[in-house]
Amino acid sequence: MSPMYWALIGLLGLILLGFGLRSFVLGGFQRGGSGDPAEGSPVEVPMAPLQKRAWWGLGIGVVISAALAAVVIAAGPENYSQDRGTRLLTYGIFLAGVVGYLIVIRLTRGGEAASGILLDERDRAILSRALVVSLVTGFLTLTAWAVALTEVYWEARAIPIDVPSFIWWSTFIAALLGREVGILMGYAGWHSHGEG
Amino acid sequence: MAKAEIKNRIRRLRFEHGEMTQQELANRAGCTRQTIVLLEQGRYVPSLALAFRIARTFGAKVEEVFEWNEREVEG
Repeated sequence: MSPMYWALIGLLGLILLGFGLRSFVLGGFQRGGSGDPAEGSPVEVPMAPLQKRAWWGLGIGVVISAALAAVVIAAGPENYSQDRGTRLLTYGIFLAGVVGYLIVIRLTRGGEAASGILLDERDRAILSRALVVSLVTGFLTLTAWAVALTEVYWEARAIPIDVPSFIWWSTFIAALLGREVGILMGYAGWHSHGEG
Repeated sequence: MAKAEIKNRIRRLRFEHGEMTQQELANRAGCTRQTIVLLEQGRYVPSLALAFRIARTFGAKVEEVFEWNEREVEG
């Protein structure tokens, strides 16, 4: 069987894994209390809208990243740019991820808006710190590329033509995932004081 | 070393205001329900602006909702 076949099988598996994670995360969310004063404060804190989106973004991002990596590895990094079908497949996977995320945002927006405020002072503070995590993640990705390329292609004194494209995509995706991780870290306990 | 603690009476005040739910209070004070839950658990200290909005939701002064305690801590 062709490597492309295995890549598609892997992609389907990752999508199923993503749905499994989604059920796990939302199942945890639904165990939270109703907010009725008679119950007192629930032990589990309900997820904020931004936190839910971060989980979705992280899940979709991981699935898309793994799928892209699987396709490139299956096709062979050296042959990636020569095969038009492989290139189109990677663009399609990336677009599917972006469209999937936008659909999730659109579908969940109605319920979130009806239930109250989407973003408050705590969310904004967490979001601004998450952008720092995103920048650091992007910087670390570029550093890893610089070190790896220098070591691998030292003798050749030149890098393959596809590498700049890989650098751009990986840095872009790493920065996006870094933002989502930064948001989730913020909700995990970084931020305990309002500002101003 | 002095360590400041800010306590609040939000949960009590919700009871006294017709058993207001956390979601209702969050909507009226302009924050998420998660922030109200954390405030009640003492895991989040609000900004001055949010403290004023919460107090006004209950028709109370800030110091009637939030209490500032300073205690000596060794170390």
